[in-house]
Amino acid sequence: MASHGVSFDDLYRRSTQYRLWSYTREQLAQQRREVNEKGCRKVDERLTSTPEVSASSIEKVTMDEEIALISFHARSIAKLAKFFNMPSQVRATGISFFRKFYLVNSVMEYHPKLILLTCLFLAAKSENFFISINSFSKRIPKTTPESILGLEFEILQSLKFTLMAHHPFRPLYGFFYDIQNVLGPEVSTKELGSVYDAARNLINEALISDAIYHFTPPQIALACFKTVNEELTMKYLNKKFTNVKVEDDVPKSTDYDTLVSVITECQQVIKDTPNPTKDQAVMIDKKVQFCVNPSLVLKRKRDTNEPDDANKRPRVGAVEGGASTSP
Amino acid sequence: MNVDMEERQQDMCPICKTDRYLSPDMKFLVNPECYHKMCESCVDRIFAMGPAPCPYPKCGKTLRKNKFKTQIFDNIEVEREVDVRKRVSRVFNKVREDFDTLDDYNKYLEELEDIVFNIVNGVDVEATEQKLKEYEESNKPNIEENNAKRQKELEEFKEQEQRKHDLRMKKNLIERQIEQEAREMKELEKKEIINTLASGDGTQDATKAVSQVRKSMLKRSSARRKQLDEIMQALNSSRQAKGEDKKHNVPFTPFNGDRTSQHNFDIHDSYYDPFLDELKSKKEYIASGFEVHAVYDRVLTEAFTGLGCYIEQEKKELNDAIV
Repeated sequence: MASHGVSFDDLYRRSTQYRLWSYTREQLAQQRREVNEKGCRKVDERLTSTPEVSASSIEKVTMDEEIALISFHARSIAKLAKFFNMPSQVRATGISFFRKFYLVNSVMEYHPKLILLTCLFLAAKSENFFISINSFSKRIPKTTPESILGLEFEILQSLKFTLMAHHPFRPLYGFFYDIQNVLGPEVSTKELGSVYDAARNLINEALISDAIYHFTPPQIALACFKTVNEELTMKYLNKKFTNVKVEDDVPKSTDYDTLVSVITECQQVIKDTPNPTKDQAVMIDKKVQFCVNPSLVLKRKRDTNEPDDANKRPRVGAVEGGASTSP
Repeated sequence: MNVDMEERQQDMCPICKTDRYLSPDMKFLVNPECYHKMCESCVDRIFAMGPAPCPYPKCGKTLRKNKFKTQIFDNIEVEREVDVRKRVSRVFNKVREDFDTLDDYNKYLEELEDIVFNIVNGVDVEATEQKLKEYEESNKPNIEENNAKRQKELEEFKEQEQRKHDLRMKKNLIERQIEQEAREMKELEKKEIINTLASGDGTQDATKAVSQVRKSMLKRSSARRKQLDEIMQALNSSRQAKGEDKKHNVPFTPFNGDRTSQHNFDIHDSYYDPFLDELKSKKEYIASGFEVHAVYDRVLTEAFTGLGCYIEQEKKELNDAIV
């Protein structure tokens, strides 16, 4: 391989996105399990430091609930970015920072509501979209510049200081060109344009899915194309990657069958993106709040003067039911 | 005080003691025989009748008028070395292409430097001069051929530069003409409108006249534009011819130049893309160096960067290898 020089794929293998933030499914699940356990231990620690709260009154968050909550808040990052009129690159990086942060930390350690603001601000900085911290925090109620900046270093540390995020937007654009190139007059520009627009929208969904951990940006881009218009995409892939002249000095890097199967898998992963409803998210959020700050339980007890457990049980069931339908 | 004296001496001819202060047109000349400087009028006076000895005390070298030249470098040493170098390299005039290996070429250069050094620093001058002469004798045809070749190359280069310069001048002229015509056109229109308003009738005729004028103007300006395009093309083609040589070289990479030059995509000259088409026609984008090809290159490169990385499979293999 080395004698053929460094290919584009080798370059990607040297990126931090590949080295540090790409996982197999088992690895990802393992990582999440560990993080969840870490979060539970943290809650236990908090409980021992506040002995006035009984351990039974605190409900810990499960792994699936964590995933649901994170994907809910990832969507709110997208909304917030739209509110600030940020470019899609910034939005995508913000989401990526946020999700990577929760691959290292549990929601029971840091509440996502604060983290997501800092992630978006950090992404704006790292993607060169300048916005001052004052004008940023002024437009978001109940924040101060300090509350946002205070978390910055923790996030950077969790990200292992890797701020470069490769998104599928540009590869999608590249394929938009290459399809014109390969298929030529076989596809009308108008049709291709509409397919491109739809695929671009789908990428926003893919950013919240686990596809970003299991697949490379060009693969995700092709998967989005294929979901929008399977016939066109298959025609392109077929023409591009089958019956390629195999020259001796060029290593065969992309094999048609493997590529198609990988893209199809990717499509499935994007389709399975968890999309919890607001109610579900609010439920989990409440639990998280108690986990993060157990003494809230006491306060609420005082406020409502009601036995806590009776009130909480049925809700928990509903949440768990909801989460399992969208793994 | 000392500096002052020196400065004065620099501006004074040591032979006739004429000062630059009194005759500002004075020029100093030197002769490569001994590099003693004197003013132009002294040279005329002393050497008009043919070769004469140098008027400097204790020099006594015989000088000829036609060998005198203006001093280019302040430092006589430098001036001398440059002259010697010029003389030697007229004889030792081979270039890298004339040698099979770099070592041979380096040896040749070393020899050249030795000769220059010897002559400049007065080491074995006679023997060195003899060597130079012998070399010249034995390689005469080669030397002449090489010199002719260099000369021709230089001329070609000059010609090319001249051509480019002419094209550029022509382009500027046409651009100015176009501007001028546009201005005239506006003025004319204004005048026409004022005339119509003043006369108060025959509006139809006035607009007709304007449109007629405009038509003829347009015809002229489009012809100019065509000319301009042609010139631009000629200019670009000469630039491209140069660029092509560069393309064959391996570009710099931080990976010791071991990047593959193989892509599995071709970049075309243009694609259907309304968004980019709009940008590339905007003046502020063009002025700031926006290049549509850079966009094509970047997005296509990214589309094929990592396409063949199958994470699931590769990470699993990696994991198994560690376990």
